Amino acid sequence: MRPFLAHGMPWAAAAGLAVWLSCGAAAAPADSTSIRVGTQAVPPDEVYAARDWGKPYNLHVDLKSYSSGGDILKAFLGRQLDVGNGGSARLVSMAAQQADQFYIVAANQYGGNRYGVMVAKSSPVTSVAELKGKKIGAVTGSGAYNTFRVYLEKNGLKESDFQLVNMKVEDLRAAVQQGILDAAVAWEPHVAIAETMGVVKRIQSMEGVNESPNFVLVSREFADKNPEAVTRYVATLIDLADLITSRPSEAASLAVQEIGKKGVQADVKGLELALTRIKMNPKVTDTLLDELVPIAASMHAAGKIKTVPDFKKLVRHDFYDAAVKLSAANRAR
Amino acid sequence: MASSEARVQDATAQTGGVGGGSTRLVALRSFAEFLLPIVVLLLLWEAGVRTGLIDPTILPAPSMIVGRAWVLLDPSHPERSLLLTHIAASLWRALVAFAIACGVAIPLGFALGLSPIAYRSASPLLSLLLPLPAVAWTPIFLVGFGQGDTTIISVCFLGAVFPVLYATIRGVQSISPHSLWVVRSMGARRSDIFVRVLLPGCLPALISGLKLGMAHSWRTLVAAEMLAALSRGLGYMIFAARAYMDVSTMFVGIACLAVIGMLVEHGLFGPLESATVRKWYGVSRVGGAR
Repeated sequence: MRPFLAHGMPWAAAAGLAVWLSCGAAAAPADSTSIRVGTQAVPPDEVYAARDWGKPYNLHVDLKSYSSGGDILKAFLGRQLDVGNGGSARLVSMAAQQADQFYIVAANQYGGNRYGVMVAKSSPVTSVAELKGKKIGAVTGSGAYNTFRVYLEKNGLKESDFQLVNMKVEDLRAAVQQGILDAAVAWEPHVAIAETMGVVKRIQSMEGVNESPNFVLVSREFADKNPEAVTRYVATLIDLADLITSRPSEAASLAVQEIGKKGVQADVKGLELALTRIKMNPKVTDTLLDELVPIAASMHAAGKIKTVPDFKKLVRHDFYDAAVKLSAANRAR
Repeated sequence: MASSEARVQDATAQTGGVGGGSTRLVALRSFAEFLLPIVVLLLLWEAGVRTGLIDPTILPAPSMIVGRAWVLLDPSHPERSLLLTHIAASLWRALVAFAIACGVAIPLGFALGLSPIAYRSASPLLSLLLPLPAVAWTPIFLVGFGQGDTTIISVCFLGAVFPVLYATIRGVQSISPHSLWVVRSMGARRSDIFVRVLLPGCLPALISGLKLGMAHSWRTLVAAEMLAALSRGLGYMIFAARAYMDVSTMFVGIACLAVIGMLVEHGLFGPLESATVRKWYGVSRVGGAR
């Protein structure tokens, strides 16, 4: 609660949240409210879109789909959305330049295991070290790419040991399969889908390298006016994380169903594998936040931001704490 | 193809009419000639996949694409057909953009074509805007309007407006001033001049511009939908399929774009163009206007 008070949230809103919590946040909320959320074509968002997660909390979640995380953040900053999500460089830029616009209320997908190095199924390569001097495709500037750089550093390798080729993530599988690239660094579900297609194999996971977290951002204006809506939304994220973690097969089926509504067919096994590689726990921890600091430091050194932001001051833990109680009460019903 | 068919029909009519059966035969033969290279390509492609020369995860066989299209079409429940929903969304956006482009470009084209001063004033601006690909405006519109139909239609509008505008200006400028003087000297009203001289005079050029405008609108649509569509449209479907490596669905989208583009050109503008060309040929044969 301290950081949020320190940042000047109106007392009335704080009092409102406190009253609402004391009046029984654990009970099913009677009044209906709504929130506008941006999603993209990633498995956890597909699972979220497949079910009305807000219904038990009397929350109308107005989902709008975007082609990328960058587009979500643009819409978020343009006030077309109440909730966006972001990680690494984009979040750091926003925290440095528009810190007064948003709160970090939850963690989104994270975990190094969601990044992997893949080679063609028939390739004799079994480790990254064997790829020295060869072509590796990656989306430069992405979380996967930055994590791969940390991996190289930790394993005594350098970027210059390889020929790194910048490509779109959707094109990496075909390039590896056709021998245009010797390997590629990609994120889920791209690696898992390509593996289940039987055309590539994953030779290295980035598990343990870092967590490369994405965070859920909520507009300050919205959160200050609608604290209960934010709490209910975070409760839906707790429920979503619970499903994905405990029953990935069911979550994958939901995702396939949702993807099918667009006229697209996706493989359940591939998505299930992808979901098991993605960590889902909305609790924002210091460990996750600390991962933003080196990114901010390098951006500061490059002159892209003036100061390294204090990310902990942007976090509102109170929403998560209330949401945990709300979610538990919902499950108990 | 439509123009050549029309000429053949004209020639048949001029030689005294060989008969309806013969005309149909010529039309059928012309159609078969048109389809032949496409069918040969599809057969080679299918054979390539079936013999293992082509990897179906990179380039699925035409039969796989047709099969996927059939599933998406869901002929037993057309009201629930996902493919028809995507096609309808795309067509609606492209046609609305095209209609707005025509509404703006045709009157403006007449004004600029008839007034040399206005044309000289606007010409630098038009020369500056014309070479810009309409898709390049997408990020600007995304900032202004956000994702959705407004952005897509605005981008498609920019794709369609310049070909129609230029064609109208050129069409109007190609009409001899003598024709206008003659009609005016005979006491024609402004509306008569427009209906009997300006409009017929610039129609062939205008129809070419409309064809180009619609084609540009359709091409621009796909790129705009990939970037700005929230839920529906062929571009959106292709983009969504790409995210999950569903190559067959991507090809269904591409095939739909090609077929619909062709149908619009040949089915809508082809007959219109033929009728205009035939009309002008008829006029020249009889040696004067009404």
